[in-house]
Amino acid sequence: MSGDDAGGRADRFRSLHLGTYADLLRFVERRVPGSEAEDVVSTVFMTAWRRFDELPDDARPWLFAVARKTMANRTRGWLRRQALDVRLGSLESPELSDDSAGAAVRIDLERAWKALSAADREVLALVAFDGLTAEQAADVLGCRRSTFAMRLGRARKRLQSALEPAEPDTRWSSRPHPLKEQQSWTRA
Amino acid sequence: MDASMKDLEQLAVLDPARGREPTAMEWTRSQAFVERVIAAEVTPRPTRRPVGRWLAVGVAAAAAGAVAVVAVPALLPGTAQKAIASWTAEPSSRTGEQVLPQARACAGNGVGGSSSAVHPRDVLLAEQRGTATLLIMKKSSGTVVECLSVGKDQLASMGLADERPLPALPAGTVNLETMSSTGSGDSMWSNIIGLVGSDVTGVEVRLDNGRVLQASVKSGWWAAWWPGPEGGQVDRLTVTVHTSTGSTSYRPSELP
Repeated sequence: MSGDDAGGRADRFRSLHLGTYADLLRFVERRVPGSEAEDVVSTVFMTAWRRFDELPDDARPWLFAVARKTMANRTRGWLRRQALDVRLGSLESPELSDDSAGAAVRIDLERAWKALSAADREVLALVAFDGLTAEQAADVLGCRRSTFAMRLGRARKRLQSALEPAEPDTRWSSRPHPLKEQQSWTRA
Repeated sequence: MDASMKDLEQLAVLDPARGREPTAMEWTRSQAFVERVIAAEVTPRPTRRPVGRWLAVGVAAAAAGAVAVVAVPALLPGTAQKAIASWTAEPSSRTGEQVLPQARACAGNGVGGSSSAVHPRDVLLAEQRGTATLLIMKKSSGTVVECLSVGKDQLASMGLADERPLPALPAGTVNLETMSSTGSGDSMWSNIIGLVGSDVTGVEVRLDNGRVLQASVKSGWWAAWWPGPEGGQVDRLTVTVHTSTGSTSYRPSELP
């Protein structure tokens, strides 16, 4: 590789970093505690540099897929001891403090969210949180687009069912951990 | 997202990263890391020999100075190869005093928070295999981290436990806190770490390829690292726990 080629490759990599770092950091922080996220992101970019020639034009799903594998490969005991879940935002979010109606909606959503399986939460999060299209999300999970669409459809149905009023249920009152501790990794 | 996906739009209120933007410091650290990675390949050199790449990394890391960021694990390929080449199956135990420079480097990176003052007693376990020093230490924040150091400026680090009390294990047993592999090809290495209960006198790791290595056991922890991919694979090794009354072997999936 000539110096110019190497320099051009480096510039393209810097552009990739500039264009995807924030999204990648958010993607990882949704799944691991913030203190871990930067390190995971660094490892993803190191992998991306080594395999730069393999990156597709739409690099974001590729980077997210590497991030999922990186997180899955670093199972820590102290994380395993907590509930497996895509993380949720803290209940103490300032935006909710003056909006009791909004807070009530959110509590219903949280209950519904927690009633879902980790697999359902993952497909929903890829679209609702990470903002991916079905095709991109399928790339992240390494499955066909049709498979992802089917999984998403089922997860949405189960979400809707969980949101519908039901008989009083004491499941939630016995939850052992406060919400903000519900943090861990999704499995690759 | 089309109009029929209102339910998904509604879910966005639960997004833990909603409105999250990287801080200026996070951008700086990440860009410095990217420059380090690039420097390993882009720095003009006559050949593509691995040793040249490693030297280039060393220069780049020094130039990055205080803003250099440490990934987890972050040994660059040339450094990992150097550590692997000198690896030994049996470690030499090290005291906190002996590894104080490595402990200071470990404490200074951002993994698990930084410690300003480091004491030998902060080092819970330390071992030497060839050029690589593995240590487990408690930071002033109360978090426990693992660091693998090679040379003066190459360090891999990962958080092991937060400040909450660790579970007490039954006597004669061990658990598995983390097991993983990183790198590729000749630079791939694995690590395994767990907690030990009382009466555990030793822990041995037998890889399915026949290689046997001794883990270090101290201060309630056991730890080992080795060249190869087994840490990232399912049950490709056996952990043998020695106690005063005998030995028991487990596959990783059998360990709590």
